[in-house]
Amino acid sequence: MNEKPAELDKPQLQETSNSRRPVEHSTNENEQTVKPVEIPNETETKPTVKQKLHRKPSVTRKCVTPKVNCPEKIILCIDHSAIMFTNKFKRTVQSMKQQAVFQVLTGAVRNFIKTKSFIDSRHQFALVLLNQTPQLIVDFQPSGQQVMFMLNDIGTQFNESELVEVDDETFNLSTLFDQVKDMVPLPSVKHPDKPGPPPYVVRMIFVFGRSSSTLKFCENDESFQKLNSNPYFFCDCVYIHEEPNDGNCVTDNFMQVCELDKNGTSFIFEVGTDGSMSSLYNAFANLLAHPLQRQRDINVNNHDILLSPE
Amino acid sequence: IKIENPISSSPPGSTDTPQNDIFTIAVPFGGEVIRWQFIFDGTNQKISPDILLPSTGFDDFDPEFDDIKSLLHWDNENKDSLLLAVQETVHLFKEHQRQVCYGIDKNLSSELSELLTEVYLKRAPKTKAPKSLNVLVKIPVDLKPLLEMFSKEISERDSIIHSPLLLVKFDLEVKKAVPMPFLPSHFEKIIGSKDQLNIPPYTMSTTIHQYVKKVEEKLTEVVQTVVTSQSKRCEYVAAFLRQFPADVLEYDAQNFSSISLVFSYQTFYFLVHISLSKFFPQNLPSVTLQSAYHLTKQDELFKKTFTNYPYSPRWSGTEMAKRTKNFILEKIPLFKDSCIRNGVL
Repeated sequence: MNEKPAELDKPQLQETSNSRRPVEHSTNENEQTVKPVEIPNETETKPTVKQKLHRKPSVTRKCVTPKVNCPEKIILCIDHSAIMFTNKFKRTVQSMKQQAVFQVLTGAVRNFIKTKSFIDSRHQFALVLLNQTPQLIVDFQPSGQQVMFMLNDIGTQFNESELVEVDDETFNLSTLFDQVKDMVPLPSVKHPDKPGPPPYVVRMIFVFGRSSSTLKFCENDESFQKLNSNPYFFCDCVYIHEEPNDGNCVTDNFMQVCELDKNGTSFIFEVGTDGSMSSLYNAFANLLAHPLQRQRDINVNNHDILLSPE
Repeated sequence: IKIENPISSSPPGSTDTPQNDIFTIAVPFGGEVIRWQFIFDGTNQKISPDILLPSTGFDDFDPEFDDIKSLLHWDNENKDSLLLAVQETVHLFKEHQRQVCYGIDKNLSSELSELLTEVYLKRAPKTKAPKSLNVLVKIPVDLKPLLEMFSKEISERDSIIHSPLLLVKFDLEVKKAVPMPFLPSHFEKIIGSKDQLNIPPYTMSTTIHQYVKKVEEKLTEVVQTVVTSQSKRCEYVAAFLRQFPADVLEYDAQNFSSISLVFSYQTFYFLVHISLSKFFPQNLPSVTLQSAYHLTKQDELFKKTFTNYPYSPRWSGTEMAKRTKNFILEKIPLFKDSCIRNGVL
């Protein structure tokens, strides 16, 4: 399967047609092409980050699963650190005032849950909040009402003046995957070479928002390996970050996030707070795709309906 | 003889013994329900029951005891005895009604005897003039291809195959007829509702025989449509998968009844949900646009559904996909504006 989109053939610094760049959501101008955000001079690391957005050619899909639209058990693992509430998206839409990352995320997740339930009411949702340790807040439920309610509640309860804690230096992926592994048994695989249609798939959507904490497996990655040995487990990630620079860990973190795509089946998105809040909504619109039925290489033309073939 | 529902007994009446030994048995017949009382003798179970027939409205239906063989040779050890007795009585009643019809209208009754129907004649209470006639006919339509296709959707209880029935109620005073189809429950579930059938109205100029033939044709046509619809829907969905492979979010991989996609128009992300009915391609698919950002003021997803757009059931799947895309392109600028004006983030 040819993984590389055409953009990679151009010289590295000419990233103008890169579809993962945060996009200005313009309501007044009639733009035909995606308008890129200007690259500040000191971020020489930025092109490197962008390069990692494309699937590495070596990560090919290990086994082919049937394209059935079985129910999904979706675990939303959402970063609950202080930075999620203090960071704001620079650009807003429709003359709204600037909103904190967590607020925008609540809106995007709400749309995601409502739409998923509309497409198929069998999909189930669970919520895990990530502080020092992952905390299961809402266990699997058919309607995402509880999850949406909790996110709303948490968002409104946050008081900026109460913020005293400093975020940890490291976020431990080991405990996260330990938690996910314990949440639900994965469907058994009868024929490893040719897996049949499962009763459900398990999908983890990991939303991480820290730019100054390192992301890594502090202990072993046994749970992670075990989960990924099952073809019915999927791990999607959304990394919300500030502008990458030498002072923060954004580049390294993004590399680690991409490493989480072990089987070549993950959707990995990065959203910069220096861009528009609509990019977070766009990421979740992409995440609506069913893991068994979606095409991996989705970044080619940004779903632009004007560019699709006749 | 068809008895559709299990025989229901009304609460038993009282006798001079403490046991319950008088039953009223309700038998559906010819679109109505006839009730007969079976009187057993609690003290002596070996004696066959008496059947008490209501005196009114039955045209003196009074079968000879000897004609009901199972009562004549009543075997109280045999569990089916009562069932047999009822069956025979009903049979006699059927014959009786036919005879009565013969007395009224010779043509009608000769037709009826051909069709092996159940007829039920009601008389006006005072004048005893024939008031209405119910004719219940079995329609010989082969439902097997439908059952094979939808075997997963049909529960075990539903799968006892019944043929569709047609009840025509003739109002003899006004000289009008009302046809009422009765469909097996699984069939009705598959096509949605009885109204989807669109059976032709009954005109008094046709004979029952001709009309039954028309209804049979219509039912066969409906079965055909639903059976071929499956493959047509598959073709439609496949065309969308071919044309928009990177934009597909989710689709019904079993019945091909829905497909959802994501697109962007000038950086505005939106979703397209398409829904296909069991009567596709005669019925066109509904196309719903949804904003990726906005909700309505009532906190619902911001959507707009279109059920009327350039369409022909004769187009190929590919042509339909292409035309649907063009239709969406036409509607999206207005939809986007509407989201921004009326939607809530």
